[in-house]
Amino acid sequence: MYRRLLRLYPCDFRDEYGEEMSLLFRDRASDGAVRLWLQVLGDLLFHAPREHWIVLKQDLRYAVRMLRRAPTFAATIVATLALGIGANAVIFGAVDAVLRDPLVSDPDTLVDVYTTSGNNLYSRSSYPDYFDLRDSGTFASLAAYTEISITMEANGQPEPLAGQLVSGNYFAVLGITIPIGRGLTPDDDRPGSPVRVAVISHALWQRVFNADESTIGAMVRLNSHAYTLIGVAPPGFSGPIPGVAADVWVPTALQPELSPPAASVRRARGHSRIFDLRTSRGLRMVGRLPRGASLEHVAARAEVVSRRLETAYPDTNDHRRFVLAPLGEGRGLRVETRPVLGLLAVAVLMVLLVACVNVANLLLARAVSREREIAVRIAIGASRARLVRQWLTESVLLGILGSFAALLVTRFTAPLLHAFVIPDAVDLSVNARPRLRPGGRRRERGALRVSSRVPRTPADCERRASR
Amino acid sequence: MQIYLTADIILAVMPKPLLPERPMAPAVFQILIALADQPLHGYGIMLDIAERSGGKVKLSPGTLYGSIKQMLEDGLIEEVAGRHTPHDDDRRRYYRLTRDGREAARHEMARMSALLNHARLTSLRSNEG
Repeated sequence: MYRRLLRLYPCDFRDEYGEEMSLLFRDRASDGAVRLWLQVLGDLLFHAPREHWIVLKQDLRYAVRMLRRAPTFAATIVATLALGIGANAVIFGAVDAVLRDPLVSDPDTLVDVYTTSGNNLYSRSSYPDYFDLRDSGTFASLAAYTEISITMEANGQPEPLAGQLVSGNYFAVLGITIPIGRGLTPDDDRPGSPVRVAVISHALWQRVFNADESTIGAMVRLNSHAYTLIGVAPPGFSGPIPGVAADVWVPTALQPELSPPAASVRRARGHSRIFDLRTSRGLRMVGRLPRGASLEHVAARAEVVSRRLETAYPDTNDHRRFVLAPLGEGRGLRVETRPVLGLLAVAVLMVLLVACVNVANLLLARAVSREREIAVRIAIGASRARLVRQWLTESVLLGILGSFAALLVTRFTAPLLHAFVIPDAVDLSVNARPRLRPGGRRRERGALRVSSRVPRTPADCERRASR
Repeated sequence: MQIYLTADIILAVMPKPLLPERPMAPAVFQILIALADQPLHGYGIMLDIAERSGGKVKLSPGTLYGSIKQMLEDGLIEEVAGRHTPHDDDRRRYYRLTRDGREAARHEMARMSALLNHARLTSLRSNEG
């Protein structure tokens, strides 16, 4: 049994001293079995890794010396690996960025809701249709949002940002916990309310406001209007759909000043509000399925609501149906880029395979040229296992160097993907950290911390606005 | 090229000289003391150290043979061929001090002695607080 445990030591050490250590163990048999085994196991656990580490240091020193004496060979292998690994890292990073679940809670129960328009299954919806569907009880909860352009004046400079008008329950429907400040609430989204509040993205908060928590509750100018910053979204969150990113979220109640309709509509109606305009369809909708309900079941209920609206409003809702799709699967970046990314993924895998074959050939050629070195080492006592370990260390070292060089490759190839395939809004940076399952089940430490300066209710905002 | 390569290999496996400024590991010093008067095998070294320390110091096999391996590489000890007692196992390997090992042990003795002399000049020499 002890002889088997000695296999934990490096083979050279075991070959040299294994016999003596076995004799020593036999000599100490009179010490008491339990005590002896406890001591032996502790000894093995401490010293065996230490011996391996000593051997590894020797191998690394030797490997570095050998590679320095063949710089062209080393550079060729490192460059080959860098290209193969780098290309794969970028493409599979893009695949991950596009296909990974957004930072929402329980994404399997979230669905995109569209309104059909002629042959277009995935068209947008109007405010009245959203209100009707929301109030029908078809979904556990239903949020609406639409993209807008926002100009923020920060530090005296106007900065164009991607913004979204969102319903008051947007963050609640998505299950997003606002780690700093608070998110929007339905009270913030009352049409006609003078409350002007905004939630910003974590990236914007870091970039423009230097991650200063005193920013919460501060006033910023958005499209020439004063808004109160009430919260910062979690890091990495920019919306439920890849490629449709936002830095600022404001309530839909502010649509008249942030997203007014066409001038002709304003003249005809005498105002900019479109909450009652069924023909103005610019909203995206995302809904949470009721607990235990399947998508098909909820889609059937939504169909009933569609028909009811068609009957009630034949001029605007004729042949309009609500269409449900799993989050991100109806229309958008994920569906549009999947074929291209699939092809690219296969292509770069081939590139990596070719790179590996090339590297293997180079290493084989080098091994042939090192026959004399091997013969000399065997002559002075090196075992075959020791030589194999040495070559393995050299190969791993080359692999590690190739991986680091691949980071440089990704730096230059990611912009190419942005130029041709992937919108800039999608983050393609290589992240080596293991990623936990995303979603609201993760609770950031201190996520419920609320600044004392944050207006907690619309009444607080009104008081602040009237100062 | 061949000479350079061979020399390179030998340099990679040659023992490194013990730096005199570096305190000696306690296990190494204990082994040098054990081998000071006579060659011993591994178990004999272990018994000698245990007896000398009154049972307080017991080297584990990993510590013992890890130290022996390093001391062989550093040239502090060497293996003795063919040293056996009549009742001994043929597989036992005996070790003895080399001249470098004896000198290293003396150097460590002098270092510890100087340290002890420094300590005796301080208030630590008495039992007073």
